[in-house]
Amino acid sequence: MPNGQLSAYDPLVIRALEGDRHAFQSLVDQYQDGVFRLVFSRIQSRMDAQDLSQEIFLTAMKKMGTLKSPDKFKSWLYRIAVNKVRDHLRKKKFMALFTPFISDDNKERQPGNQPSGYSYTQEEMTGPHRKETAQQEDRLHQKEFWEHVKQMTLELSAMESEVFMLRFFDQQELADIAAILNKGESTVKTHLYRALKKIRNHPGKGVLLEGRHP
Amino acid sequence: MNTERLQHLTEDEILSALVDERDLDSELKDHLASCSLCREALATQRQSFSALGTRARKYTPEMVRPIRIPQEPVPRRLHFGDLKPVLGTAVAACLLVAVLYGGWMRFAPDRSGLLIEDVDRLVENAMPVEFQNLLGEELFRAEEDFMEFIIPPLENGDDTMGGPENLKKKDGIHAKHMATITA
Ligand SMILES: [Zn+2]
Repeated sequence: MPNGQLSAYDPLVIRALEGDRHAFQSLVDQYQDGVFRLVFSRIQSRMDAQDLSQEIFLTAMKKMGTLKSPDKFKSWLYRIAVNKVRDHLRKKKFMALFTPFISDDNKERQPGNQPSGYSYTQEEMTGPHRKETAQQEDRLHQKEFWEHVKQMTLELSAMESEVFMLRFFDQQELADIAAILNKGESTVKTHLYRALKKIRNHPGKGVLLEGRHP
Repeated sequence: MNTERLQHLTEDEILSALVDERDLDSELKDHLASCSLCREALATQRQSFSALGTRARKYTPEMVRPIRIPQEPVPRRLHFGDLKPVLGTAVAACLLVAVLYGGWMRFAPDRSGLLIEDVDRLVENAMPVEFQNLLGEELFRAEEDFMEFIIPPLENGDDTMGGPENLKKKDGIHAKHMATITA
């Protein structure tokens, strides 16, 4: 389904609103990848992204009765996701004040102390040898990419970063971003413009925008 | 007179076009429509930011496992019909209270001043002093304020799809904030 073009009367949403658990599970199946990607790109930890995604859908299920516009289900779900991520990052930042030496990316949860919050599955760790080189190279690019994303977002305000990611990472239309963040569209545009300008001047833009690997 | 702009779009104007072409001045729009160089510059920028998004999706790992919701029914949206019995009971209870209170007021001595004092005291602190200390309500509030101070929120907290009044109010706050930034 194309982004931002959810049919006005998605029968699944209507059935879920009537209390149909199977319809809600179908919505979960439909949106879980998008929600997981949204969460991972902000927190860059696979295990935390998994837990948080689960939590987001549980919250959505509990609050389903409060959804006033069924045609805005996706924006509503993404709003819950953005708020959950924000709460998670706030908690993490707060906890880091007390544990400055083990704060970086849940090191304890990553086998082999993998960087950038990417924790590998057992299968990935012990995969067939011929695949290993390609995988390692990919992981290196992956690590480098998310490291640059992290650096880039440090340059942006929270709102600039959120608007930018919703637009280019999650491929949301401006009107949908406005709905997700509960802001006016002009405000969203202002933040997006500032974000683009900062990223254009960012020293890591070669890796970010052109995919160059030094 | 030919009003068409002769200069190419600046880098900033290209970024504005990338955000939303419809917001460009008509002069810039006309130039963009007729200048292949500027159109190419815009397409290049658009392509590189889109490619960034594509890489972000490519470098996002698979989920550990699919999400499963618990075996319990989804809370239903409330309809007016659902509320009918509750409303009926509530109206009956209100009427009963009004009738009883009316009767009591007619025969009871005037203690309204004392009653207001009692209510004020309860509003101020519902618990006896010894319990207030045990409860630590003040401490809890201070901790929340402290969290807000350390890590400011993103400016929106609720998950419901708010109405336009809400939007206007929050945008108003934002406009003030933006004014402070630009000042
Ligand atoms: Zn030009």
